[in-house]
Amino acid sequence: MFNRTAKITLAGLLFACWPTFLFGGETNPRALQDISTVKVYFDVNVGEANKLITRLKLINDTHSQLVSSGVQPELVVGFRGKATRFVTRGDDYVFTEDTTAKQKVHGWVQQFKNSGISMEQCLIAAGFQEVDSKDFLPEINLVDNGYVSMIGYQTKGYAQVPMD
Amino acid sequence: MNIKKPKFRSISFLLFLLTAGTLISILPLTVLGDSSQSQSEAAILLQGRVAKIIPEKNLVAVKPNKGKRVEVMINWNTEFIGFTKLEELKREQKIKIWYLSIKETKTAVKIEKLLTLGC
Repeated sequence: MFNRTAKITLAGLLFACWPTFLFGGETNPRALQDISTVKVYFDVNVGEANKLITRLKLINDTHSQLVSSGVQPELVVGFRGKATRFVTRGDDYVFTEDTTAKQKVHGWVQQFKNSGISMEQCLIAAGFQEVDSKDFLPEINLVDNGYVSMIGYQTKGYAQVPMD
Repeated sequence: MNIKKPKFRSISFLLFLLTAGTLISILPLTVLGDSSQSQSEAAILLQGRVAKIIPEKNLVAVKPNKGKRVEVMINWNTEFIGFTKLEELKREQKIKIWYLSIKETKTAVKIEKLLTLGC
């Protein structure tokens, strides 16, 4: 019936997916045991384009995995540092070779908004990066001081996840 | 004896020549101004981040926050503030650059390395 190649492929697929069969898709069962809601603050400050995109993808993956684990996530993404330049409108503030990456960042920002993830931009960082507050993407809430945000969210019980 | 009389005998004619000569000698300064002052007035200030450095070509490319990047040549007369040689500048470094734009060539008069702060 099956030839040898098909059998090997099937065996490989079963081997690759065995943790999913074993744990029913939940990869952090112990950490999420007896938890129905999680609150997380992601501190995003990396200014290297590809690294920033990877970080944003990881945030999105984390959100998806929390949801698929049956946990209700309340996520906040805080932008500061050199990441600040990538969450502005248009092609300004980044090097010409980073404009494509900037558009991808904009795509993630839109995705986060659609997923109900809050986003904040520190205006102190904006000052250091000489970014006009009017130039930020409208999906992002501007806060006077990103450190105050971190302190506030942590005091409210948000887990702090550095994304540098 | 036949002695030739001087050609310019008239004192008023000599005075005219002296006045004309003086006027001609100061004319360039009056019309064009002092050359060093003219250079500093014409220099364009640009602030931005270093996008690219090509030491072998003595070239630095600067990207302002808004607008296209500008490529500026460095020469022996370019003044460095906060650093000693072009190789010390790295990509992303914030700088101020004063340059002269003559025809298609932009030549740096002065480059200042700025403090990079993050938060």
